[in-house]
Amino acid sequence: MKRIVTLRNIFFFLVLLIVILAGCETLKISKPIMPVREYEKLIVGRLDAQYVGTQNCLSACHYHDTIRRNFEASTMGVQLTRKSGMPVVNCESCHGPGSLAIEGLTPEKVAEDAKEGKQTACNYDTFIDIKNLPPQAQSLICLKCHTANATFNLHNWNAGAHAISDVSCIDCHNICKTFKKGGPDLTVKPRDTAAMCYKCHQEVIAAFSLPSRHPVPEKRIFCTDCHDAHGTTNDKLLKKPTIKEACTQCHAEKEGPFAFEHADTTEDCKTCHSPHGSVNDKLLLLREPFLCLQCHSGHRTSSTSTAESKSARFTRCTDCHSQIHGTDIPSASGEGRFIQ
Amino acid sequence: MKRTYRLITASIFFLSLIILTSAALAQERDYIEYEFPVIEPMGYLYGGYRFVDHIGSEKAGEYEYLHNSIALGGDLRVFSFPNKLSIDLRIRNQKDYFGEVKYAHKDVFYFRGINRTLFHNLDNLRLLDLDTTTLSPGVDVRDADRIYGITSGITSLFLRFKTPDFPSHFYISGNLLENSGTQQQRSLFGSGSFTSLVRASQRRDISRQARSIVVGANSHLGLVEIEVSHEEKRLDVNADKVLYDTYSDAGSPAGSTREGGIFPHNLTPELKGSTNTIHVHTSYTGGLVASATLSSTERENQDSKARSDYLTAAGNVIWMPMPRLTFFLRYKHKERDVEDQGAAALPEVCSPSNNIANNYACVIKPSISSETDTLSGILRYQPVKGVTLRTEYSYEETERQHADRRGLPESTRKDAVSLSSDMKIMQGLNLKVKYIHKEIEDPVYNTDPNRADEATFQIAYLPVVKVNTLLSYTISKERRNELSFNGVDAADRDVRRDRLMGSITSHVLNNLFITTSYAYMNNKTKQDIRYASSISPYNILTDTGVPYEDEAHNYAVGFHYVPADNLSLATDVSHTVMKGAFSPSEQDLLEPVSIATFSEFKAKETVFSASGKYRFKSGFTGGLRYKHIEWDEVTENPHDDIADGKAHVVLLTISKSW
Repeated sequence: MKRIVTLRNIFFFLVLLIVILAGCETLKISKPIMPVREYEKLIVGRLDAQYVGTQNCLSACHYHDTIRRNFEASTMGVQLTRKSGMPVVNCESCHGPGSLAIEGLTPEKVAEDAKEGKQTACNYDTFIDIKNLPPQAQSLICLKCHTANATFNLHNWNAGAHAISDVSCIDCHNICKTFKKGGPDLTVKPRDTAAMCYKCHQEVIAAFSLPSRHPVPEKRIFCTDCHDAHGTTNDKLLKKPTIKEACTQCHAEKEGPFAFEHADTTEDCKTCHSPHGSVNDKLLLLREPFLCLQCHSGHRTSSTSTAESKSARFTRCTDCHSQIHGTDIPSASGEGRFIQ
Repeated sequence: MKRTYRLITASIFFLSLIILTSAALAQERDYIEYEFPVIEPMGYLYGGYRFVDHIGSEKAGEYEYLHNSIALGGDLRVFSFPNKLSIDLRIRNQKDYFGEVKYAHKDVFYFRGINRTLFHNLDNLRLLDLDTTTLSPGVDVRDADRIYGITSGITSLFLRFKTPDFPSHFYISGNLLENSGTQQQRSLFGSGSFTSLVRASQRRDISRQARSIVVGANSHLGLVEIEVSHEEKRLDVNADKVLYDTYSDAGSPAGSTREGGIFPHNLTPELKGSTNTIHVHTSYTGGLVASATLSSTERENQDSKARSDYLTAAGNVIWMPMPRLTFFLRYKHKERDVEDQGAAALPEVCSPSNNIANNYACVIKPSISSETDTLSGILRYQPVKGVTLRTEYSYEETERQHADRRGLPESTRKDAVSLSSDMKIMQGLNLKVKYIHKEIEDPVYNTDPNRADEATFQIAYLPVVKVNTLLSYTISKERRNELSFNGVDAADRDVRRDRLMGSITSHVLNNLFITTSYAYMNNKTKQDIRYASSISPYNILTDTGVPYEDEAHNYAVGFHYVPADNLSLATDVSHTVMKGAFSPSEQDLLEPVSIATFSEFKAKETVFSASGKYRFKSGFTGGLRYKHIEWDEVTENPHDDIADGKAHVVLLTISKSW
């Protein structure tokens, strides 16, 4: 029998293993198809500066202690150490190398300045000027890691309405102020989403002040229940592929399919409803019966019909057509009149 | 040859070894292990009592549980590397609460659970019988003065595992929606047809559960990132799934030959479904980026066995040849395939055992299936710093099956062009303008236009430091050339919508913040409406150019004042005035009473809230919050009456932070 464990086979096995490992290493590295060099230059920082690490950066003064604690307690905070099992992330990951900023800054100088009532400032000009970067470059600071870090809610970021409209990550995610703001997490608290969205979408505040509305001001329904601010392939950044699917996350009893369908109007709930708010009951775009009379002929009537007859037929269509979203039970005629 | 082969293999081996070790050494060099300081846990706890006084309709305080209750809540945040815990709890009462728990271990394991529950007061709409001496039309009100409401709870759970040292995630997310309570069920009794019209109102118990669970995995693999997920969804109905009532003989007209008996009505079917999704995208750090999504959804009605399948395929390509110029190309394909099982799936309702004459047959029209393709291209250009111009063109085509059975077009084509611009005119002055134009060929419903135009103008101005003003106006106009009522054409339709909003936000003093706003919303529609004459031969008649209008004015003022470090005061008032009506002109619709009077509406809603917090020297904080809600229906329309109501809610709390 031929020997399997030979020096030659061990050697080939080792080569194969090394090639696989090297291949896996390269898989971990995000590779842009075509780099955006201009933006990359903006976020690389001063080329004559060195990375000094968070400990060195903050050891001399305590001005940033609160910010530091906020970051330590944030989602990415654990990545200050390699013990987290994740790539290391620290102040310089976003702000750029800090050696020039702390040049000549010693604990003694800080103490001396403090005695004179002065705050010893870093040379901030040597950092990346994040606030004044173009929004795309601001986002690139985050995306340089998050595009390679399996961030599963960013699949459609680049073609989403926010990215197109020059909204950047830091417009919503306040990296350095999270702990005080309500939790050791960079994720926005659901109860705070409306206030955050209102900053740009002020017209929506007016819709939510109307008497028929979803309980968004009450903080029981969140903007993020229907919309995904990180981008989707759907209109209005809806989380679900269709309007119906978005609405029936909660209104599942109206989803169907039904044996008797209301044509395909129920595919687009917005044919009849105004999701943010309306002056009309049930978030209706227009009041009944005019809402229905836009498409359907009214019941029999004439100037000789009694007021009672008119009232029964022209008050609210849904008094009788109570299954207007679809039904599995035919009406008395055997057809789908949405009565039963 | 053998030697060369060995040489190549050895070279690969050593090269790979060098790459790996140098990468590892590069990471090791200069690396100082970070030491976390001790971060003390942070906590906040409050308790209190909520007093409620309420008069009249529950419409005042629609989302308030209008009963006295104990209130409790607090936060806890603990960070002790490698563990993080955050708890946030707000209990307003037994039917209104919010809770959130987050736990992370090294960010490798992450859990987030959120529950929010609220009580929704529902209307008990009045069914008015103008002549109680006639049986038909008549009313059968079995729930007069009954108060309705539903408790809705949404529980979301998310569990994620990250693999250390390799970019991949595995996650499970679940969503549970529970509705329980009672609501008004309106329906048509009598014969269920024109021979005997009896509008009915009764109580319906609600107990429903909608559950969904998603299992997914995600990994970044060099050039692309891939995510695969599977979702299962169920709807279970535990109370009053269907109601049964006695119906009389349907008799004429033709087709309404159902004999009297007990029949089911207002069934809420149980559902079952699943969704499979694949997302792929390239690195977002590049000038050329592509992403694609493929999603397939199935739903099955567990009662009628009707099935629907949805397929969505979408892709985007973004090319940024230079930072100032970006092209976006988007494509989406949607398929909707609905299949009903016909009358055979509904034996109990289509061939009821008590239908002796057996002359009653279900007529189930095939459901509409459709395919839609949408292609759009966007160009973004930044000519100078502070100015962004965008232009978009999109084309959409929809093909429908079985639409002709409902008098709807079999295909529809939409073209849309939009132009928008964001401009920073000067320091503190920003202007946004947007214009959209749409052309639609063969629109499917009367509510869809042939042509639509929308313009938005928004200006944000900071005239002086700490004063921020905003003015926003949107006008949209729609024109439909020819309406269709079940295949019968009528004249045109015009729609106009106006949205105006203005606000001033000011830090009058360092400790005084004032915000004021005004919003105006107006909807106008003018179109032909059709109705059948009640005089033989029952011709279909037209009332030409019937106007409909509704509008709302909202005025809001808010003050936030911090007179001392340990005292804060806030007040907010919102007052909304709204009305709506339509105006038919045909005598048939105006005599002896206009059909418009049944739905005429004018109402006012005022919400006032005032709150204050005072921190005592002991570290405790006392809080008082008062909320007053008033609903006033100015037009006391007996046909569409929701009674006036007032609610006063006082919340007294004592809290402490650590």
